[in-house]
Amino acid sequence: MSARGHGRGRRIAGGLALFAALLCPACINGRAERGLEPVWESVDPSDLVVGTSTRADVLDLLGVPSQVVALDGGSVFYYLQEHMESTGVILLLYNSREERVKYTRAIFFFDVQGRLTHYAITPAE
Amino acid sequence: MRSRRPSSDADLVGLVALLLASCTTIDLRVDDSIEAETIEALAASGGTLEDVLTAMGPPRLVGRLGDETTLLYESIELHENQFGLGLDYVTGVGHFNLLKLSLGESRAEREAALFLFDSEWRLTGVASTAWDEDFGRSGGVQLVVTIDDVVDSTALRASPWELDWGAWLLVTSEEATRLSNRPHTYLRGTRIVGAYEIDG
Repeated sequence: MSARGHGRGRRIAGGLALFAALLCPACINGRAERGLEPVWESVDPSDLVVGTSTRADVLDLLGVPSQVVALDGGSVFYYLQEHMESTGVILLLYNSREERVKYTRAIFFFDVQGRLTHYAITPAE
Repeated sequence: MRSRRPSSDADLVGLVALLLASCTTIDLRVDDSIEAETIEALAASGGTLEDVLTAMGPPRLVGRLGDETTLLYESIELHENQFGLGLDYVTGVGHFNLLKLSLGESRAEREAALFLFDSEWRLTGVASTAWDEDFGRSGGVQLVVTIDDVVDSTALRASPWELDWGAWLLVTSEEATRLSNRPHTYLRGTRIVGAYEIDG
């Protein structure tokens, strides 16, 4: 092969290598959880009765809360878990990342006697 | 006259790569969007705590306002776009390796709803708002191609402080008491909001 043809071949090979690099994708997939284990998602509603259940019942059922709030006429137990998922793609010309942060919560209101007055739980997906 | 040829293949590749621009988009969604219709219906009905919890679920924050109680709901959707130009992936063109340009801009779509209840758990006030928050633009010359943020959105990415309760388990009660701010008190790692301060 002539020197001229050899040089053209090297340029074509270089171009192909660059083209392949452009198309080379990489992926990102992340997942993280913080906070309490969301045991409240599996609570049987019959285990919590407004007006009857107490703070002790909730503690027995769900354990230590993430936060305790003292109100003027009662108190609140607040349970929280953070769940993060991220996905992404890395190309040479374009990169993208999507991140989704979901909070699973449960909140329980008690009167001054410690009886459950209201509660709400984030529905399980 | 002969046309000028690239002095080497490496320079040709470098010239092509010099023209390459790279774009990055980053999207962050924190909590579900707040439905305006739900807020309006609750405000019109003048319901109770139970109505709000049923419609909205557990809130992001609970607060005390005198003898009233407040529930705060919040939703954030962050969009960040970046544009970059660089030659970091190209080898053999060392004299171009220092060239890297990054530009970025970011904005957040935010929603918030606040509910106030009296001591009988009757809804006494509702406020909601939705707004676009401009986090500004930024640019710089860098050495490394990155898809990390180039604008400061740490305030939105900070985890709820309720999740940091374990950090206080390793702090002596004396230090925890000294560090705590009225009217918050830390006790065995659980943050008690609205409790009396422990002095001394």
